[in-house]
Amino acid sequence: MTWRSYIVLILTAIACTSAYALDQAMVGKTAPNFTLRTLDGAKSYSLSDFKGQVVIIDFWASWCAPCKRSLPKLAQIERTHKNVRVVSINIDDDRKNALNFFRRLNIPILSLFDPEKKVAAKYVVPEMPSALIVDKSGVVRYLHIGYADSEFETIVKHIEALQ
Amino acid sequence: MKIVVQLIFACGLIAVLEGCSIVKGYEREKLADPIMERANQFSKQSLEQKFFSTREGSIGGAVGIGGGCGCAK
Repeated sequence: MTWRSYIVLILTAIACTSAYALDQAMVGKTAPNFTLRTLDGAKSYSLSDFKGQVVIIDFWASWCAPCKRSLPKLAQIERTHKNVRVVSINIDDDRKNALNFFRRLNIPILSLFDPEKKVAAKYVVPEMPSALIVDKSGVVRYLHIGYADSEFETIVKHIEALQ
Repeated sequence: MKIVVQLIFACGLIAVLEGCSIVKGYEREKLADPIMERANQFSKQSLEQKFFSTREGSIGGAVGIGGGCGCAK
C-alpha cells in the first residue's frame, strides 16, 4: 500500500467514526421533554407523564417497511414487562396514512403524531425506525437504529437491565 | 494558464457539490415512495419496451417467456 492509500483509509475511518458518534449523540443525555397529541388527536401526552418508568421512544412511519415488524415486538415487550412503557411517535406527513397503517397492525400501544418532525429533530433520529430506551430517571441509555428480528433479544436485555 | 484551469475546475466542483444535501432519516417519506424505486418504474419500462419493439419489430423480444419456440403463449 502506498502512503496515499493509508491517508484514504484513515480519512474513511474518521468519517465512519464521526457518523457513528453523531448517531449516538443522545445516549447518556437527559431525554428532552415533549408534548404531542395522539394519532387520532383525542388526547395529548408528555414524556414527563411516564417518569419513573422505563420508556421506549420509538419513531416510526407508514412508509418504513421494518416498522411493520418492530411495532408488534415493542408491544410484546410492553405486555410482558412491568413498568415499561412504549411511546411510539409517528412522523408521517399525512395523518390518514399513519392511522390506516396503525389500524391494520391493531396493536395496543400509545402512538403520538409528530407531522412537523420537531421531536424527531430534537432526538436526532438517524434512521427509521429508531428506538431510544430511556431509564427511570429520564436518561437515554440505548439507541437502536433500524430493526431486525435478530436484535429483539438485545433490546429485551437492555430493557431488563434498566428495570 | 494552469491556475486558471484549476480555478475553473474548483468553481465547477463547488457549484456541483452545492446541489448535494444530506436527507435525514425522518425526512425520507417522499424518497421512500415506491415510484422512486429504479426497478419499479412501470410506466417508464413499458414505454421503453414499446420503443424497443417498434425499433426491433419484435414484440416481446425483450422479456421472452418460454424457450424460443415461436409460440405466442
